Amino acid sequence: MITVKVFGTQPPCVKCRELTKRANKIAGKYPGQIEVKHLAALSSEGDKYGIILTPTLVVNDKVVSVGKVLSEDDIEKIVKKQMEVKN
Amino acid sequence: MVKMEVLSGDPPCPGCVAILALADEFAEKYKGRLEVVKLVGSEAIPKFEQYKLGCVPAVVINEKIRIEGICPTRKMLESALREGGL
Repeated sequence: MITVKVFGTQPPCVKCRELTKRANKIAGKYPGQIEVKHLAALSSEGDKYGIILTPTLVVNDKVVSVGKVLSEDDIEKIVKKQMEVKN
Repeated sequence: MVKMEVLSGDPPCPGCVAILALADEFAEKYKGRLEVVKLVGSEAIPKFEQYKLGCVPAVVINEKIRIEGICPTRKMLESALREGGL
């Protein structure tokens, strides 16, 4: 299972919401393989990754994007790479 | 008295910072006629859910969503307040 965490503001701003929406869309393409979580940047979970900008995207505990709304293609590429690493 | 609730995220995005400053400005300008309630971060969550909002910043005037996802210009906020009965 690939874990995708989107760290954003609480409540979500437009950018944070959009990134979560795109990540969920990609997760929908790979049923049961990707888990997406939207988390507060200012939280103990956020502290673990040293979040300084939102939205921040973390895939399998690795920070992959900071302060950007990645395209669906980019998210899919990152996730697929993780799937290859696992296999 | 018109009630304006301003919901902002935590940490605040640039739009949220701007809208909170605008809220202070309008509270001063319309003292006695406008009640401004600023809700930031976790304190905004109950209202965020109650109004079924999708994102912040947001302005709710007399319990009606007027602005969502952007920081309005002064003119836009004036119009929203006028529509809200100010």
